[in-house]
Amino acid sequence: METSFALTGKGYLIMAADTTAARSIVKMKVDEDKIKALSPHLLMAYSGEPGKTRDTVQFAEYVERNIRLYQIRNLYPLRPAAAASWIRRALATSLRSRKPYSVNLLLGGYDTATHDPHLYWIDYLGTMTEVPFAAHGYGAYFALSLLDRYHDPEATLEEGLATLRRCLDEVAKRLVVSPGKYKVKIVDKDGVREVEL
Amino acid sequence: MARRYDKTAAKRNDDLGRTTIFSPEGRLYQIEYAMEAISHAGTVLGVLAKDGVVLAAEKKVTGKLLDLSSAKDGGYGGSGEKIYLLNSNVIGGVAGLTADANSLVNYARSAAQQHLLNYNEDIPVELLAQRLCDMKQGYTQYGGASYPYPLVLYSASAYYQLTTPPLARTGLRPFGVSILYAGYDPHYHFQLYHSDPSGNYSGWKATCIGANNGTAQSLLKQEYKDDISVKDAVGLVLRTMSKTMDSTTLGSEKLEFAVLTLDPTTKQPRAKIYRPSEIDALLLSEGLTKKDEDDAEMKPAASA
Repeated sequence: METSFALTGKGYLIMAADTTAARSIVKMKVDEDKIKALSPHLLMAYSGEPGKTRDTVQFAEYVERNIRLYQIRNLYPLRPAAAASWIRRALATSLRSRKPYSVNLLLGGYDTATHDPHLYWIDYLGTMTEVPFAAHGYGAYFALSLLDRYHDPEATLEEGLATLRRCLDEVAKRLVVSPGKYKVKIVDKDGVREVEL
Repeated sequence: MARRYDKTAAKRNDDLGRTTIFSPEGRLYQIEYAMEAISHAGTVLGVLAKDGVVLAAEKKVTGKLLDLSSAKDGGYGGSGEKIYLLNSNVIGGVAGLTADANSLVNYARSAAQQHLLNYNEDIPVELLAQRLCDMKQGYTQYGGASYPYPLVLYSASAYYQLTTPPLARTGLRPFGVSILYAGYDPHYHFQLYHSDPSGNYSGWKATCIGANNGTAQSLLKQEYKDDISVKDAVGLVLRTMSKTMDSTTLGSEKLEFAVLTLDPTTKQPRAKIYRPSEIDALLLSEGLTKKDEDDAEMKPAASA
């Protein structure tokens, strides 16, 4: 089942998402990247209702192109908070349309103006909240209590990755339909990069 | 030889509602006339400091019988002729036709609020200047404010808007207004921009628009120092104003004044547009009151 995590630390943000693309009970693909780099310092993990995979990809690409358009037009990229507000509004507008997108998002970025990481939890109803750590999908039921216990906003990158490791291990151990592989990306002052856990 | 500048053709174009056409020398006279109108307007002067921005303006509409009671209290300060709050992080100083300026101030405020609605943040200063310049430029070409592309794509279903051509508009003349924008945003911190009727804009450390702007600018060029503080900038602005204004007496009846700084506790921009009583108090503390105009005028501020 689709699962994504994100947590902030001292000057960085880590985001992880499983890589399975499933249809009904069948795994169609096991190397799907569900974290988009929207700008040099902005990451978005997207997941959706089972069976609505196209929805999530469609919406993610729509967001990606619009954030890029803003950057080209206005010389500087949107700050994480502004991007989150815009995306939330896009979802809220969509919810009130004939055919709403059912997409859940984690939006995380490094604010180059204030030099700190920001993370936003957004769901398909247009709910948005800024949080120190977040998760979507079934993994959230197992990971949030662990993050309550082990998350430290002042932790180094190594400690942050260790905390993420705990979450992934717990999900692997307890969740019936646990995903096999995750993609992990980090954003900090130097931009976005992918790491192997 | 190229076709002569055909006055009847120009007239015909005007009748068709075209704002401007090129002259044989490649000039746009309506724009130049608009700029000329501005150079007769009251002076507006801005200085960028390391910890703030200062704006001052010369009021033209004065007189014993003018009812200024609303400027004394109520509103957000200022007497509403030259200096306006465009957004919580931007102050605008306008020179030119007051009625045109009012319309632009309205537009600027709407643009700022639209940005706040879409992005939940104060509009970056340069972006606001760009928004107004896009409109001003429109009046030099197709005579209207229609935006060639939508400001915001609200939803995926709004993609069709990208291909919608701009509406045909028929304005009659460009805006006869230059604006100074004093603002703050987290990207570039304090900023000072100037925009003119052609839709050009540029960033400045210190600049001046309106009557005697040449004199004021050469004075600013001499006296401006990099990393000047707000306190010194206030002195510099007032001294320069006193030298360039028609009347030798500086007082709240001829002057508007505003300062943009950061609130020391919240670190949010704080725009202060001075009330008449506060301007008089400031002039007194800077030693630029009416009584000792002669010796105070040329002396550099003691606090500098």
